[in-house]
Parts: sequence; structure tokens; C-alpha cells
Amino acid sequence: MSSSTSSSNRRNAARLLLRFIAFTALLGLCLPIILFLSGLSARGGRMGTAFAKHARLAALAEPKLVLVGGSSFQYGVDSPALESLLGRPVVNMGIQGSIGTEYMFAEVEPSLKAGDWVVVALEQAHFYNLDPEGETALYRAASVYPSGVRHLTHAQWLHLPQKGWVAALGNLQDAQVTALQLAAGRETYAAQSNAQGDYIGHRDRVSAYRPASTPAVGDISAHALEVLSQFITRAERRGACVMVSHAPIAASAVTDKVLADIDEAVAPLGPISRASDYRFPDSYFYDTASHLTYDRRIERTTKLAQDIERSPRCH
Amino acid sequence: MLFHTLPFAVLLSATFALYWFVLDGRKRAQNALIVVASYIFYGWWDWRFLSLLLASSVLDYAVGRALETSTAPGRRKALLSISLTGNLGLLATFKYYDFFIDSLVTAAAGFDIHLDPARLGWILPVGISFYTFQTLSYAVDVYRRDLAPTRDFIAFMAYVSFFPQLVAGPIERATNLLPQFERDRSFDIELAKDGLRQMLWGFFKKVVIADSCAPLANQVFAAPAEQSAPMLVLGVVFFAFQIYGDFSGYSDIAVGCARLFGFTLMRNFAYPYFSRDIGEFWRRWHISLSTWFRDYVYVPLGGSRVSTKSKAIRNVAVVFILSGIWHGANWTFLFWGAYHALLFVPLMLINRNRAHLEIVAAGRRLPTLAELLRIITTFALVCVGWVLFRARDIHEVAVYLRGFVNAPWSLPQSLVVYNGVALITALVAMEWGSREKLHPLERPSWRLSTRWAVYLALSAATLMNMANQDVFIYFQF
Repeated sequence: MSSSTSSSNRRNAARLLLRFIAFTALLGLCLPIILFLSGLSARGGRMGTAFAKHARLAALAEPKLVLVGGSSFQYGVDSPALESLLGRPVVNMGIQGSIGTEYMFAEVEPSLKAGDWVVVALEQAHFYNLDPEGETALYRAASVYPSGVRHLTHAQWLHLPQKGWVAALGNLQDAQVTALQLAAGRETYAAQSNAQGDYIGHRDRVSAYRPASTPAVGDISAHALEVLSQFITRAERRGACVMVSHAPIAASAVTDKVLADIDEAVAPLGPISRASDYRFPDSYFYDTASHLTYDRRIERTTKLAQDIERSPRCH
Repeated sequence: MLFHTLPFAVLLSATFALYWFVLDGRKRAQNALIVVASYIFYGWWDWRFLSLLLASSVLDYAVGRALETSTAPGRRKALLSISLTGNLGLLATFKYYDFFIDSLVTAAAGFDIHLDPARLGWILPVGISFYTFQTLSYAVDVYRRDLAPTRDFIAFMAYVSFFPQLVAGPIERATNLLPQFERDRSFDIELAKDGLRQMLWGFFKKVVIADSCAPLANQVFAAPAEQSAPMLVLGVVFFAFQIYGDFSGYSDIAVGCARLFGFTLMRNFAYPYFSRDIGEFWRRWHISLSTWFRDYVYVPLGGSRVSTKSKAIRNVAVVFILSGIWHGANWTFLFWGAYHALLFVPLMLINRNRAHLEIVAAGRRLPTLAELLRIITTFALVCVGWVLFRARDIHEVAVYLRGFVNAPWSLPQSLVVYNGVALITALVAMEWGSREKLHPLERPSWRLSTRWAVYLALSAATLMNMANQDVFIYFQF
């Protein structure tokens, strides 16, 4: 092959490569726009509940009780009852466990004031890194509630190109559900919450939970414990008091050993309850192994209130 | 290694850069690079099976060289037999041995004879049905003197293992692909750009269409007895588009990817769901396999130019049944092949099997009512075949087909259904508008900004759906 053909090959290949790089860069630039627009369209979905929760978190002047966890809080506590039992206003910040502990803690921390109480109830998935969605839910949360973007860590920003697109699809699916709900004259997901931030859309609905196989777990994640421990330290610097509790879990979805391991792992943090205290019969659960039915929330709420009252930690 | 994963993106980029910027002008080095990249691509899945790929290459290269110096018909036949035994032996051992044993045990049990022979229990090497057929075609072509045997072992290894089409086709003929490895390459930027566009279209079909159709199809086929009649219909229609998007998407990616390296692979799909009869369907579906069987089985058997109609029918049945069983070691595949033979034979008997050679509604925007009815009827017949193809056993096929009539009638309401139907409609519309092209993004006549907007939209849709990362269906064949 002549050298002129060869150099023409290289020149043309370089031209194609440059075009491809330009296209990829343009595609990359589209991601934040698509995420933002899809987030805007998904505000009627679950992630959209963040607006009301944050508004309440910022507005409450008196010492408050902040519930930090995943959907086991959103679906599994009766905050008005908790307010009555404890005599202080409650903000339920639980949305979805897949958002991850770093973001969950980071989004409440700036609003904590002296005298505030925080109850943290992590889920089995947090302790064992079982989250099936990776960081997709995190990017969905931050795109629907854009103020949350500032809480993303450097590592989470780096993973955005990989997971951000899937997050946008999740937003669009939420937007579709919202549109169908509105078209059918029903309330959107975000509108089906009470003032404290509890989801109440499952009232009058019976348990549809079907036990699945118990997930296999490895070792407890040291990272989850470290993040929790650091949050406790930072919150206490602000004068708030953090209590570690546990998420409800369906009896068939967890083994005794897992609960014992979780208890042992969080023991140095002075938890206010044992993990096994929140293991309930399968029939108490609504659609997943951590979402209580509307009626069964009161049992968890009462137990939680008792644990808080009995604990010397914040009194 | 899957096409829609990061490791493949890295492998493709590195190979492209080395191929054109470092090794350009040195075809033997370029071929060697392709061999290395292909072995990494294949070994990524399971490096142990690289030995099969190598063994298949060595066997047929050696047979080819021996045929070159052999003139005695007996010796030439013996050499061809070695290739056939070697390649088909690999297939029989890895793919069919346990199936034959299980069938034997079941048949013996029918006579109250209880056998318990040892089973191999080996996993099926990915792509074995594709590359063994490819090497076989080389040996047969050399034997027939349709092709001069190559003396360049590296070029031959590259032909056998060429990574874009190694594990799911198109099944390339040596007469088309091997000479391309023996020629100097020049980078045709227009061809390469079109290759990228075809890859994009392939990714869209696989990741967006096929993987969106898969959940509903899987759900319905997992428990057909529990489904309503509309769900059974939707289940098989979704499977029809799942397998089409999956397999034709793979082929588009393969063909497009090959173009980046200056190679032209054969077309494997030509809008098969716009076919007006089963004959046309088989000229448009998995073209590389159907033409392989035509050239290496049907024609040697005598094809349709035989003395009696019964022999012609036998030849058709043999080809369709072999084609069915090629897809997998299960009676359902055999019956799937036989079913298509049953549909094809009447057309052949009335000389209508080549009635539709031209593109449907060529030069017109819409089909006539008669054409539309023929397309819908053919699609419905193909879908009945897909039930045979997808079901786990014959009992499940019976349950499924009975359900079309007996199951309750309630319309499904879920986003998966709405979205799937919308995506299928969009795909059909885009492909209908492009049915005179090789793929819908070929030679786009839109303005630059529109073109880039379409590419960005298809890329974004593909990236959004990447979470599934389902493997390609045809990997299991």
C-alpha cells in the first residue's frame, strides 16, 4: 500500500474519531438537561415528596424530631401519632433507601438545630450493600429536587454519566404514572402524603406482600457504619441528638443471624432498640418486606415512641 | 463480552486506534490485531473455550491446504469428511449430546426400560453454532473448488474469529469475507460513518426495543395458563419484537462494526415482518443461516429440481427441521422448524414460494389492503411459530395455543404494555419508511441539525435503557 493511501486512511480515521468525540461530548452535555427536564416532569412522583418534606424541615422553629431512613419510614410510621406521643413536631424525611446514606444524612444536616432529635433507621440493604438500583435513585432524587445536587459527593458526580441516563428514564416513568393518575382523576403520589411527610396512599388497601426468597448477605458494610457514625458526630456538633433505631422487616425476609449481626455492628453507636424488635409478621407488610400496611404503622410507631422515651440518650 | 458494555467500548476503541493509526498499511499485522482482539472478546466470556475456536480454525485451515494438493476424489472426500466430523462433532458433543441422551431415556421409559447413562452437563460455548458453520462453509467451498484455499493462517484465523460477528453472526461465507482479509484495506469514511449509524440503530433495537419487550414476554411465557387471551396475544407479539430487536440489532451492530475496519458483511435481516408470505419471510429473516442451509444442504439434496414432488417436500422438510434444531437442543425447536416447513410446502407446490421478490409497496407510501392483509396474516403465522420457539416444552405450547381461545378476555392495563406497544409502533413506522434501505439511518436525507438530533435522541434512549444489560438471545444458540 502506498504511503499516500496510508496517510489518507489515517487522516480519514482521525476525522471520524474527532466527529465521534464531538458527538459523545454533545451527548454528555445533554445528560444534565435531560435529567433536569425529566426531574421537572416527575415531581408528582415519589421523589417529588422531597419538596414538602424539606419545606417542613426548614420551617419548623421549635425542637423537632427528624426521621431519617428509606421508604420504610415513608410507608411505615404514623407521624401525627408520634407527635402526640412525644409532644414534638415530626418531619418524616424517608423517601427511598436506594438514595443512599450519604445523601440522606447530608440533606438533613444543614437544617438541624440545637435540641432537635434525629431517629435514624437504616435498612438491611444499607448494612449489606444489597441495593439493586445502585445510585440511580440518588440521581433521581437530586434531579427531581435540584437543591439536593449540592449534597452529591465527588464519587457520586463521577458515576453520573454511567447511572444518570437510567435515572432519567426512572423520572420519565414516574411522569407517565403521574399523568395517568391525573387523567384518571386520582391524586398523584406526591399528593398522597400527610403534612409530616408520611405516605398515606395505601390506606384502605390490604396487604399485597408476597414473601420472596431471603437475600443472601455477606459481611456488614464498614462504610455504612462509618457514614452513620460521622453523621452522629456532625449532628451532635450542631446540638442535635441522634438515636439509632431499626427499620421494620418482614419475618420471612431476614434471618436471626442477620439481625444479630446488625445489632452487634451498631452496638458501639448506642442504639435505642434491637433489630429483632422490628421484625413483624409478613401479613403486616403492604407491598415489600419493609413497607408496613397503613393500619400496622401504629404498632411500629408506638414501639418507636417507647424506645425514644426509654432511651436515656437524648433526655 | 457484550456489545453494550464498557469493556467492549474499550476494546473497540483500542483496536480501532491501533488498526488505523499504528498498523495501517500492514495487513498481516492488522489481521493479527483482529485475531488478538477477537480472542480477547471471546475469552472475556470463558477463556477455556478459546481452544475450541483455535481447534476449529486449525482443522479447517489444514483441510483446506490438504485439499489444495489433492486431486483424487476419494482423498478429497475423506478430507471433507474430516472437517464435517470435526465441526459437527464439536456441535454434537457440546450442544446435542445431553439432549439425545435425555430423549433416549424418555423413549426407553415408554417401553418400561429404565436407562441412566452419564450426561456431560457441559455449558454450551457461546457462538459455537455460528463459527462451526462458518468454518464448514470454507471446507465445503474449497472442496467444491468454489474458493482457492488460503495459505495465510493469520487471515484464516481472523476470518473464523472476527469479533463483530463471532458469537451471533451473520454466518459469513469464506467466499465473501476471507478475500477481504487478504486485501489491503482503505478507510472509507462514508462507509465507516454509515457503520456507526447502523451500530446506533442496532443498539437502539437491542437495548430499547428488545429489552423493553422482554419483561412482558417473559412474564407471559412463565405462566401461560394464568394469562388472559389478550395477554397471551401480547406476550407472543412482544416476544416477536424482542427476538427481532435482539437478533437483528446484534446483526446491525456486527455489520456496522465491521465497516469501521473496512469490511463488508452480508445482510442478515431485511425487514422480515413486512413479508407477504412465509417464503418471503425466510428470504428476509436470518438470511445468512437460511442461505447457508440452501447452499450446503438444500441444493446438494437436489432442491426443488428433483424427480418427484415428494422428494422436493422431503428436501424442504429436512432444511427447515435442521434449521429448527440448529437453534437448540429441544423438541420445540424441531417442531418450530417442521411448522415452518408445513407453511412453506404448499407455497412451493403451487409455485408461489418466490411470488414476492420485490420490496413491498415499492415507490408507494402505504401498502394496498391486500398487501396489508398478507403482511398481517404472515406475521400472525410467524407468531404462532414463536410460541413453539419460546415455550419450554410441547405441553406449554398446547396450553398457550389453547389459551388464545379459552382464556378469559380482559384487557391488560399497565405501563409496560402501553410503552411496549408505543415502542413497537415507532419501530414499525421507522422501518416501514426505510424499507428500501439497508437500515433506517442509511443515507439520511435530513439536514445536519435534524440528523444529529435524531442520533442524539436514539443514543439517549439507548443509554437510558442500558440498566437491563440482558444478554443476546442468540448467544444461547
